[in-house]
Amino acid sequence: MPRYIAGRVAQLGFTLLGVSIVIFLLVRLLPGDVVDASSGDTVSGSSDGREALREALGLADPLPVQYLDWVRGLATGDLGVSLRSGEPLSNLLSTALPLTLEIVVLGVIIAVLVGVPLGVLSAVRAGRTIDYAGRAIGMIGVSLPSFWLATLMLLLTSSLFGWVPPSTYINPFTDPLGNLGALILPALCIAVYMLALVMRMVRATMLEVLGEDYVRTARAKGAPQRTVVIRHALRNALLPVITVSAFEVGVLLASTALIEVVFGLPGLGNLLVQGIFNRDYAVIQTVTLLLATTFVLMNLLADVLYAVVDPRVELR
Amino acid sequence: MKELRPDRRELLVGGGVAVGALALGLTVSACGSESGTGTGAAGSNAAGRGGELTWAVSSDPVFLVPFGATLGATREATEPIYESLLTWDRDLRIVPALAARYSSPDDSTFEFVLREGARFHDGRAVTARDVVYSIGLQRRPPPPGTADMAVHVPSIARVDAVDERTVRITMEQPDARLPGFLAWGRHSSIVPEGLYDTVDPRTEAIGTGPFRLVGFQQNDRVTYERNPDYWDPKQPGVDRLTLRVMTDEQGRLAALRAGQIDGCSISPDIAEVLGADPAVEVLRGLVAAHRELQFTIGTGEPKPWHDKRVRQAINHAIDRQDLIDRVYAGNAEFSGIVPPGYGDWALPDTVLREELLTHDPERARALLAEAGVADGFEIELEVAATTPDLVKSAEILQQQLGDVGVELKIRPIELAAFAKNNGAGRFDLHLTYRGMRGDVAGFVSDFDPAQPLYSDVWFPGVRDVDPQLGRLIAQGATTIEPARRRPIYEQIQRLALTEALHIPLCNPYKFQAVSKRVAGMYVAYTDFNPGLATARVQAS
Repeated sequence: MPRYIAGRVAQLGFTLLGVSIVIFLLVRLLPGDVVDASSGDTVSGSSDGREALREALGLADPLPVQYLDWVRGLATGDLGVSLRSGEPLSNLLSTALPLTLEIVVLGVIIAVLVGVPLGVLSAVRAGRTIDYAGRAIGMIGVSLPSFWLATLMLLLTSSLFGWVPPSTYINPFTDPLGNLGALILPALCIAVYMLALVMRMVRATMLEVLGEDYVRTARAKGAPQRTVVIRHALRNALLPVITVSAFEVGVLLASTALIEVVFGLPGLGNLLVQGIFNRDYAVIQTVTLLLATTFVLMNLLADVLYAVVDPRVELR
Repeated sequence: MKELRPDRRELLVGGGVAVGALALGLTVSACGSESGTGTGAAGSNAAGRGGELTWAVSSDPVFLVPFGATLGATREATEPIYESLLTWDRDLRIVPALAARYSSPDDSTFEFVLREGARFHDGRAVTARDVVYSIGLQRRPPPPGTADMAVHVPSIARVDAVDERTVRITMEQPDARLPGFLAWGRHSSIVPEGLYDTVDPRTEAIGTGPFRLVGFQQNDRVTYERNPDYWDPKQPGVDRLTLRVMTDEQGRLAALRAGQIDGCSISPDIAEVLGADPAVEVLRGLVAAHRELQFTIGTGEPKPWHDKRVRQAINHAIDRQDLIDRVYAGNAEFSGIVPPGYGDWALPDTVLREELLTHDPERARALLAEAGVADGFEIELEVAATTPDLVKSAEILQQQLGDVGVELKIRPIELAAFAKNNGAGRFDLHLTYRGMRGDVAGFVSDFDPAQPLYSDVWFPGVRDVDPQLGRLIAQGATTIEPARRRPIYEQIQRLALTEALHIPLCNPYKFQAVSKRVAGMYVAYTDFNPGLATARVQAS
């Protein structure tokens, strides 16, 4: 397995190199640049000042030079600075990244903690009320747009309880409860889709596994229902769920953008959205590459986990 | 020597107001803030001084630089910190700020005497040298500000520090725009000499305003505290002020209802919803932000709208009242080239409705026929997709112009792309909005043939515009006496509306929602939130 992982990591390098080129070129295909996007509403027309600013920002350099500057910086640990604000990206990411990661981690925990038991119950009690309820939740969960749910949650909590989560990052080590209060609703919003997905997948695989010979054998040997379901069936049914969950973490990370905008949270997604509006190439490129890296790493993790959980799988 | 501005004491006792207002041609505007779904100004409660006020803004300021062309969001965040020599009061009269008074020995020279005891936030006294340094940066803004706002800067030839508290500004020619430019404040902040060498002006700030900067977290918040040395002892009304960046309107609404913020700007739809909320007061007022259509007239293949009669036909094909009713639920006024509420410079509403901006489809068809396009034609209209009211307006304009045979092809595009096309003149027709200007000349500068924007970018191929328009624009900028200036600008506006290079549509009202614990906040005609300096809060 170590050899397999080393090979995959090497492949990952090439993948990210390709991704970086695509991102670099795509952002430059957008009409307008940071200088256009910075012009205020009192501006009329263009001026020499804009060209001077483009030169100062390095936007007048040939594209290969701009690309190499960016990649060279990344390779040496210099993430660069925001073209709009001049703020080092390392500073921006140091506040935005923890917030977004925490939302995603909380979301995954909620999705797994609720989705797996619900899927199991739905499979074990197939055709009964709880199964119908579980399937309904699954259907609604995959259908609801998360930004709509976020808006609904905000309006409901503010109207009913006069409360909304604070739209700022509270350090979990200094105020754990405050931190949880600030992030629980955003995490719930992004968890709903994954929860529904996990629930549906667990239900489907459990139904399949519960009909297998070895499960029938376990029952015939007198194993209690709880043992049959949890130890024999669920363990095998979870294999595809692990793969999908790891994959979904990358999707969740990307989907936090809208949630952060609705809740007004200064996370990675919000930073990216503002970067796009501002045509801040440095922000867009680096944040997108970071998301792509996470996505690729989570795929790798899914493969490795698969081998760890199922000894029959051999990674070469 | 003409004394153009009495000191504040004189202004407050009354007589000076008229002198000052007449000198600059800005008389009291009734539209700065007025009754709407709630009242124009919050303030029925007995709020005391002190406490903390949190206001939500819809865009990230990005940085806090005081000079150059920057987004409105940046100005929103710098307004509490920086101020200029003059300012506008709530009724749009030019009143002293850092300058206690000023005089004009002749039409090309202005002398400003600084307020005694005025100090920067770092404790240094404000001197004439600081003003000389600041005006230098106003004229040549360092990055990341750009000189794109140069068209609004008056023709200053030199600035001299006469003594510690007296500054003399010599103009290249008589230029009436200077007091308005200084009062506007957006591009005329006064900063301590050497500011750009001593601090990072993107994230740090040293001004003289009612609040001093405490912290700036990009994409999150800007925090301020009271400036204890502020020259106006009545301001600010609160000890701490926070601007929170909340880009989603529903998020702002929920935060307001939950008491996390004390106020924010809202859309007319939300204003209607909040009108019934007993915990919230909805403020309504005009701001200078009229909507208009803009043509380009290139040098290539002649297009139907290169003919004045076609542009006039489009003007008369538009039913502005229908637009106001359907897009703004009645919350907008007709606008000419100068928006309504801009002192007494704007053309009267009746002149616009009954004479210059009449809805007359028959006349429109006749004009099209005269121009040889009786069968109509197609024109592409670009609109920034991020401005919902403009997108809705575009759809209604499509119907209205379709009735006379002009087929609008609407192309909603993203704001940065729109700005790029607008600046480069790469469009046929743009639907956009304008903002505040320091002087009435700023509203008509787009039609000045002497400006590169006119001659090189937007209208290089124009042939049939009355040359009198350019002559009047030049005359207006150099005529100092308001009584002589006013008829010039009336003529300019009439001519500009006849030429129809831009077709103004309407000026919507702005809405803000404030918690009932806030008093003294108002919708400022100048946009942004000068009311945050006068607002007070009740202890929660």
